[in-house]
Amino acid sequence: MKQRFHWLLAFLALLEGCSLPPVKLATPEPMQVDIKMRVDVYQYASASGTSTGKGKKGSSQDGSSQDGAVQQDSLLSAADAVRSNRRADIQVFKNGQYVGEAHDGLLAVLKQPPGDLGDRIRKAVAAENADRSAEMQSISQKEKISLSEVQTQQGEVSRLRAFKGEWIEKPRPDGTFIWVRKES
Amino acid sequence: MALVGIALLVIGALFFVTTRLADIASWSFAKAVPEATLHLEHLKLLGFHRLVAGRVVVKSKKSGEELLSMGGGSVILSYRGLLHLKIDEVRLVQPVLTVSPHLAALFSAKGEAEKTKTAEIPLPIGLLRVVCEEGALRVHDMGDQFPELNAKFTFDLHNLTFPPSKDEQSIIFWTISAKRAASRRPFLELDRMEARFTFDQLTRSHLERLLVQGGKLRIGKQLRALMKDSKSQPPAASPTTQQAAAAPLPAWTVGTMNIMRVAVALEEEGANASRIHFQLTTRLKDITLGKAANNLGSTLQTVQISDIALRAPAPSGREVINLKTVFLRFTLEDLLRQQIEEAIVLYPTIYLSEDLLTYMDSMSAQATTPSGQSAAPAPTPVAGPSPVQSAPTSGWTIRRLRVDFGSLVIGGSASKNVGLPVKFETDIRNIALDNLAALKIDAQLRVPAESYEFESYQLEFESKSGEMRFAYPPEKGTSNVVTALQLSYLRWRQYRFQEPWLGVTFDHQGINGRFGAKAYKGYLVGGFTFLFRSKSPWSGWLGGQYLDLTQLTKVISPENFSMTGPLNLVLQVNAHGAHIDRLQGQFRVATPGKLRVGKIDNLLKELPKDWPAFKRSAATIALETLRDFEYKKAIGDFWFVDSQGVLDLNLSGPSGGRKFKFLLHTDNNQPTDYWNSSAALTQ
Repeated sequence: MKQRFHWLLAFLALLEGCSLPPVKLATPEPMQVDIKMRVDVYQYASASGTSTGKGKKGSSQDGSSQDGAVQQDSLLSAADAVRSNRRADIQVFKNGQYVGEAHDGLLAVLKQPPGDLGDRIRKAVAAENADRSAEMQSISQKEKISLSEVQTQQGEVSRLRAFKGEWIEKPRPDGTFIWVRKES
Repeated sequence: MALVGIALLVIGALFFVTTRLADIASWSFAKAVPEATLHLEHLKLLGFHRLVAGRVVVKSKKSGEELLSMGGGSVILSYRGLLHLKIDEVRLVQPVLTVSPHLAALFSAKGEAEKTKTAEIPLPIGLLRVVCEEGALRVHDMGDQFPELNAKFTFDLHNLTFPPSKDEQSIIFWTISAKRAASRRPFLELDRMEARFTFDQLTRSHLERLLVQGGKLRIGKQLRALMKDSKSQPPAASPTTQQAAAAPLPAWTVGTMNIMRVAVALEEEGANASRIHFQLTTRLKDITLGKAANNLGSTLQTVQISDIALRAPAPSGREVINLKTVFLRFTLEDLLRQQIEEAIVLYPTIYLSEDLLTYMDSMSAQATTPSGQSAAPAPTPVAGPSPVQSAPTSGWTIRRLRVDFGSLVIGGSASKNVGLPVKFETDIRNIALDNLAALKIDAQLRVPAESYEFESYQLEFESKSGEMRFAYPPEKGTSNVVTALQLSYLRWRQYRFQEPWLGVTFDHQGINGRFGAKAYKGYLVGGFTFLFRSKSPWSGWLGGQYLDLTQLTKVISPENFSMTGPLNLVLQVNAHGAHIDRLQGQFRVATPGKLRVGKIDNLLKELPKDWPAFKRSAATIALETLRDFEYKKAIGDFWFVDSQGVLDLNLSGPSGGRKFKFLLHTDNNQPTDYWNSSAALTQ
């Protein structure tokens, strides 16, 4: 019994001798929260359907000839959409310094990374150049000037319209060309 | 018996006389006019009341020239008329009257004295009727200052008696033409001219009325040479004409001169010279016949011309200037001096484009002499109410050009239908049009205060009442046109700008522009290059400083999103027409500010009420953390292509950082699009 009492005293003494560490609820430095967020904003075609193929498809409900016309419009719009998306891709490639505007009005691949990205760049540039070539051919026939002249003009327009930092192929006084990043 | 004998003798004499009438007439004429001879053919007396001539010719004895010829003629007499010393009728059939110095010689000084003497004597015999059938008048060789004249005429005059009657008479001329001796084509052709008078008026050298109907007047080289000759040369050199000229011309006066429907053609030389036609209809009153040309020449004419389209040379052929209505005010003398007194142009449209410059260059090239030297420099036109300057040029000049309700289409053309029209008006003195190569237009076009709205560009602005400079060619550099336009405000989409200005320079490549404006407590400057190519491509840049983000975000996304602090930004844009192809830029907020995403308040209000308190508190804290953020620095960049792209916004502050990536998609994005893939976005 006395032994039990001693154990109790010892335990109390131990309790007395030990104090719990303080728990701080405030932070010594202001708490920092870093947030990284992606916000996707979609803009849909208006009811009149003036901007996209979908909108126009939706509006074609009666009349076969009208359907045909609308379908054609839709196809054109779809083609435009494909090209529009491709242009956005090309902008990314330009931002990444992969492609530049050549002197002949076409795009040139300056740096082809390995793998999937390289393939994407090559395909996008090839498709865009095919469209540009067809367009220049059409201008050549319409304006009755040679294709090479149209290409020279188009190359000049592309150089003038390039943004600062983008690659352009600039003519030299000796008639050759040099790739430079546009300065202004 | 004796009486019978005398009667027979008289009858015989009369018979002899009737057989020798032509010789008697010729002899009498030779006595009266010794410088001329009269030839009569088939002159015979029919009965005792009709004297008929087959052909009558009066020739100059000196030169043998036919001065007057007639296909036939007759004189009708009556006993009653003869009793009153009157001839019933004189009929002239196809008389041809040739007026030349030889005819003038018939009335030499000696003859003149006699004529003067006889003119005072009243007609001893009266004519009840004088008829002329299809006469012809020919005036020639009267000296360089007189044109050759040809006309046909007819008349039917009555009561040529004394005292002169007051019955109205008329002489009708037709197929009238006038030309210089050396020229082939007449400069004046009149369809019909009628002179009305009374004999009483003729004695006072007065004509009641002259009526000119129809015809054509060509103002060109011939008329100009005639005017020059008449001013520079003395009258013809022959003694006879000198005498004729020395004699004072009768001061004939005309009560009224009506000119109707005479087409005036302004003829200039050169393949591309202007061809201006107008119709002359005018009335002159109480004029002196000798000065009729002067009076007519100094009468101010007004011509209205509509819808003049000036086009660029081939292959373009596009319209560069359209003049809706033009009033030209000038006198005929002005035209001879190649001057237009005043040109009032209403509703003109000038398309400031490549085609305009091509047009101006082609005009300059035409004005350049074959040696490559341009003609004498033309004076610089002076805008505004400055005094009229002398214009010592050999070409056409306009003393005053007024333009009202003008429209200046910047960067467009009539066929392309793009560009921004700006209204203007101007008042320019002394424009020389002969030589566009030397022409320097330094005009101040007055821009009236006016509001403009261009829906396709979502653009609206109000021009200040001010002046815009229009210079061709510029002081420096290649040919171009420079303008500067001050505006009172401008709105593009929902963005508003104060005191914007625009300065543009044109050349064959396109339009280079600079602009600036106050906006959102800061200032914006920018520039653009509009290329003269198909689809009208253009590029631009914009720089902004100290733009108040509070105001700006309120406009961009009212109540949903706000930032504070001064924003500096630069952006570049590519577009064609009203369509923006791509846009790229960077921005920075250099001073501390606060971000608040107001849209999150709606989310906070809509938190489910049945959520446990702990969950609601945690969500509230998380959303409020997103909603409000104080930053020390904010930077970002963006690019958009065909209305899709990325905007990166990086904020850093004492409580951490916020990195937002906004992706703007159109609803036709394909799943395979690379640009919005993670790989692309982390490049």
